[in-house]
Amino acid sequence: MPATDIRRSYKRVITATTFIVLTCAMKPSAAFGLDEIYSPNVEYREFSLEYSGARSIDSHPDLGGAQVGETSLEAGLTPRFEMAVSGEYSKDPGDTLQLVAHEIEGRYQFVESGEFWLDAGMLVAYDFPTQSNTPDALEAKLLLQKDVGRFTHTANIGFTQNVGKFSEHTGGPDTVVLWNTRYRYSAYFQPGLEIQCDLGQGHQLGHFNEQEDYIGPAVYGKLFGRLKYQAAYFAGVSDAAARSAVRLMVEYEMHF
Amino acid sequence: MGRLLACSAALSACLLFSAAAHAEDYVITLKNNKFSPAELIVPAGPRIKITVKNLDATPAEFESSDLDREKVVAANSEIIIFIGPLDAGRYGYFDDFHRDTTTGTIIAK
Repeated sequence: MPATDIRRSYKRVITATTFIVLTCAMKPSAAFGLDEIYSPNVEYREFSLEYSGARSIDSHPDLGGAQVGETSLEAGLTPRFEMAVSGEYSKDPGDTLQLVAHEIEGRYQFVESGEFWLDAGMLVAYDFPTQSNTPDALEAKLLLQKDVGRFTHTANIGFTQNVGKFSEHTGGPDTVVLWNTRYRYSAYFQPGLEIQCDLGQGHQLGHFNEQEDYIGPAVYGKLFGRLKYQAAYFAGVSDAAARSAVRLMVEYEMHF
Repeated sequence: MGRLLACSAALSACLLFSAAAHAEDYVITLKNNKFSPAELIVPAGPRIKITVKNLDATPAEFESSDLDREKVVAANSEIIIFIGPLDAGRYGYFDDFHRDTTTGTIIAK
């Protein structure tokens, strides 16, 4: 790689790192949570800066205005393994956005994409809370993906368990099931459908209206060559969910 | 919850490993920022294994939204891409580092 390209790469890394440090130093666990749906496929030698966030919309003061966000630096370190460090933000309805945790995350791709009937991988993340008297959290997600013609179906099944100090009496793991189907119309525009179900903990697993379930249209794609985006608008379909919610993700990717 | 986790892991393992099939082998070479062959003809139906060899001294990224693949090929090295089963048709791909000039097509017949 020419020296000018190396210098440019370093400059990009320093800019991205500065952005992450500044955003983590700004503000930002919450009940409300819509997450990015992860592909099991790792992008080797890709370094990316990502913002992902969601907000609930509801006239009920306990449900509307909740917000979550995450700013991450991700790097595909090997053909099968990607690591990320993030700052996580959250706000309950009526509160202000605060930084609630720092997260370290690893994603492992089990098989070569397309080699078998189903692509599969796993994500493991550990959250270090910024607030005192708050437990750490360990998250594990099974990541599955299947291409059928121009449709790509992705499913994530995840469990988050509070661990360490202050985790006593916080209950069993929170379970989420996430699904999206997108139509690969072009690299720039891929419409789809997204379903996000937070099944809750313990006894909530058997009670639909105590869970937070959302469904809605989504769009995915790339802009200007290096910028990936995802946007989704959800309708809440269970009593515990807000009337509606929006989710947005933008990612700037570079290669090393 | 434990049962749900065990079931989902077992289901994915079954789906993953029960349907492994033989894939037909093809090669695409990248030299002087040109893919060769520019049009690769493959049969519609079976799973296809393509070795992408980058003979250039600079890295490339094999990318295709038609095929849902995106993979970096380091300089003077190679990668394996699995695609299909494909319906008959044309599937474009490109080098994302030279997206305007380095393109190719896979034609499934």
